[in-house]
Amino acid sequence: MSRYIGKRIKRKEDPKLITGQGRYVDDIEFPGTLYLAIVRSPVAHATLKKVDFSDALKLSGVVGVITGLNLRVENRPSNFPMAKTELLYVGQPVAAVVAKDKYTAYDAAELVQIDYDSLPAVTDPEEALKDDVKAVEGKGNVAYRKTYSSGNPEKAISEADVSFEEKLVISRVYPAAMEPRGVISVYQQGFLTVYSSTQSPHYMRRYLLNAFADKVKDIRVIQPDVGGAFGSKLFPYPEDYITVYASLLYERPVKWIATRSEDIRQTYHARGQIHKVKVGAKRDGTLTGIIDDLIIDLGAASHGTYLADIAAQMLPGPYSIRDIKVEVYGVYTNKTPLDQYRGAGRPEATFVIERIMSILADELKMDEIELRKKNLIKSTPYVNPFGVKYDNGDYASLLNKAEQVYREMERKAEKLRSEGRKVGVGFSFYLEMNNFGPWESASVRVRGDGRVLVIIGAAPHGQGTATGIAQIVADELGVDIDNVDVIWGDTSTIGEGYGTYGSRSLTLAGNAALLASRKVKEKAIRLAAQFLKSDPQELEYKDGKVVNPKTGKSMTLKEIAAKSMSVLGGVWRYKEEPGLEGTAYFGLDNLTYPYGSHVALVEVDDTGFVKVLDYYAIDDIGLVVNPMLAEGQVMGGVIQGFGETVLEEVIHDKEGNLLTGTFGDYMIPTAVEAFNIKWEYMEKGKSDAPLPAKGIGEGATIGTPPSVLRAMEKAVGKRLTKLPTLPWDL
Amino acid sequence: MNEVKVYEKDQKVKIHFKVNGQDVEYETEPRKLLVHALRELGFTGVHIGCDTSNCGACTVIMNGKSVKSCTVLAVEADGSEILTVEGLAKDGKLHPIQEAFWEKHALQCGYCTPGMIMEAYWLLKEKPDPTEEEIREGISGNLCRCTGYQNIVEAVKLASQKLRLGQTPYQRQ
Repeated sequence: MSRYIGKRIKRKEDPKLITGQGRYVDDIEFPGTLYLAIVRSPVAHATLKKVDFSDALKLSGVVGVITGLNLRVENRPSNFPMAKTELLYVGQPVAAVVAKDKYTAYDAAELVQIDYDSLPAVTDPEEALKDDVKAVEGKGNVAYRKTYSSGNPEKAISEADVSFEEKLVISRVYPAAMEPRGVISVYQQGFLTVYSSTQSPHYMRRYLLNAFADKVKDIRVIQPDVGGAFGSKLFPYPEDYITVYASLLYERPVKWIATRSEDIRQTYHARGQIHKVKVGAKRDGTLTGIIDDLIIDLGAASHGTYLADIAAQMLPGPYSIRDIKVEVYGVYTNKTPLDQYRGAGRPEATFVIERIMSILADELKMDEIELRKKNLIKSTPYVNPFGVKYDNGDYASLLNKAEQVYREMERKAEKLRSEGRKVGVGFSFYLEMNNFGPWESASVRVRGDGRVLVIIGAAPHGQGTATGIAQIVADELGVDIDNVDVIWGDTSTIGEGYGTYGSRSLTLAGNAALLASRKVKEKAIRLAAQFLKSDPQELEYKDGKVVNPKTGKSMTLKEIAAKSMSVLGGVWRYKEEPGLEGTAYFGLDNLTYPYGSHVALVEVDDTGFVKVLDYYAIDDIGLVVNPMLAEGQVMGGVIQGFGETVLEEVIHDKEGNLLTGTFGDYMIPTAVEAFNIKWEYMEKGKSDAPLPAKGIGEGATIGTPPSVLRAMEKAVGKRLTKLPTLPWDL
Repeated sequence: MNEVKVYEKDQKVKIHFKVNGQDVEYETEPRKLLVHALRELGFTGVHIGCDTSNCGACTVIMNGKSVKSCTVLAVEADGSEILTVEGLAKDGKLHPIQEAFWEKHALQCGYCTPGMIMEAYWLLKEKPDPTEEEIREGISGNLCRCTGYQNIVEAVKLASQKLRLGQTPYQRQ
């Protein structure tokens, strides 16, 4: 019986956040805290000759300056976390000033002189592929090379009735969480407590310990409230190491908080892929072959290569093509390193395959929904040509449902066009992979007063996961949700965990919490058997009570908890271990594969301004625990995807200078550009988990760009191939 | 016209102002931003989301008008009355705008929320019954990356109804 699951339950997270009582990392203070400011590379590529900080040291209140700190961290630049010999991109840390307060630290940072000899920079990934100008001295620009191949696409394309080639560009974007990154590291004689705006305290503990194992015994990482992340606060950053190092050096609490300008320069950029596709098809619309040369613009380090792998593996999408090849080229450029952002490879794959479907429909003068139906996978599970096993779903039903909305919007568009307005309707169908593992943990603890504490290893930062998990636990234990507290974000409260990324937390941590709750119920039965002098076999757990159906006797969970705690100083005379706690770890042996469709009606005015008149999204994400939260994820994701389609682009000039270094130049949507979204969901493609959810954190940033761009394309009657497409491109 | 005051670079200036109805005395460098001063004074609900006055996370009400507190120097706030998000709820009862944000799921990470709520407070004071377009225009100086704004707009509409239905807002000024 579900009292809470499936309902639009208001968030437990909100009261503190709407009253200003949230505690983000910059809100935390310790006596004696020192403040750290980073001096960054002003140029994209140079030989670093000297860092002169003598003037900085003269400033009253400056405690010290750190230069040349190099640690070995996998896949990071050789000069990490600070440039020591070579400057590789604008914004790369070169030195750190530590001072008594923030203003002094920044004053002193301005007095640090960087002496360098400029080197030629390469910023265009296609230029980088030629390898004429080296992005990193002594290294070839091709950092990564891989081929994904199935069947014989060359033959399929040469024998095709129709074929075309296109270059599709997905620009670099900046995730732009509203809270910039920040860290406080507190040193206490061999131990550190690190407060960080992170998506994964447990993972952060691991990577910091890897680097500082010779200097500390253990590191406790605490994730305070986090003001959004979207993938950008998961992996190691230079400032994490620099701040920790400074606190070890000075044996004091040290705080570093990014300014927005710093955040745009050093928070890993995302997307940055070029796909040169060759496509072949039969006259009836059957897609027969795809060859894709994929160039990923890695920036100055190689940790983003997996994003090309995901894009390549998911390129076939929900369509039954077998002859397909993706050649992956990962290139170094003199830009901020690349890493994940909401969707991480699936938006790129979906953009490419959905562009292919729409363009093919145009080439064949065929209805684009019919074309998709013709190529859609007929049954699941299905193994795609690159070995990815799609779990289950009813793709055709969802497509049919979205088609009705599409036809309706087309009728509306037709009417508007007859009035002389430039409008178009765009459609996309997406299939993605999520619940990246390997597993997640949860502990459920019933206190003596009956209050239930749930600790999860996931690390939500805005998604509302704690509310969803409270719904699951309250239903499973049959207790009131107001008596369930969910906490997370502290490596000392649960043994191990991974965090929140890849649309995983509700499914993986939620199922761990479900299984932990079941352990608590079993324990409650064994304890109640003692208290009621019954055989545990006779008892059952129902609606928050342990009941003996024979005698009619029962005890509530609260009564069992209270009786376990009754007398301080007495003895424990029962033949069962005290305590009402359960911990469970939960993993799935495959990722999950939700799918959905987006339909957009847009108008383009004479200045190239894109206005979305109607927007519809439908998703099948298995069981939906809280439709309000899922809908919130979709609404936010659609507007981010819209930003990526019409506004957002990280731009560097040829010398590698960042031209979009503030929110004045890097535009994210405001309420004026944003629009209303109508959302529906189906619950047919359930996951194999006991609580058969999938994830919805990223679906909308995957489904939106191809639908909006298609609508723009139809409005202006010109083929569009780039994200973003800006007003002057139209 | 405001009175022009000249300060020395390293001078410490003592200012007096009211924050959420309480008298505050504060000594500051002349260059310190109001947002930093408020945060140091413990009003950490006033957030910093950019350094170019684009994001609005630091929005507070100063002398009855909404300001981005990163564009005001602390010394300029001398003698003023300031309302921050911490001053909205009274006697444990949420302000109708706060209630509406909760009911309509108008926040996710919550970082833009205090600024957004204060901007909504100002908007509804100026325009008690705004149209959707006026709401969107009114909050366009406050960036939110999580919600896509739809539920924020809905929350402002709901708050407008609540306020007009006579649930008197708590106003200190």
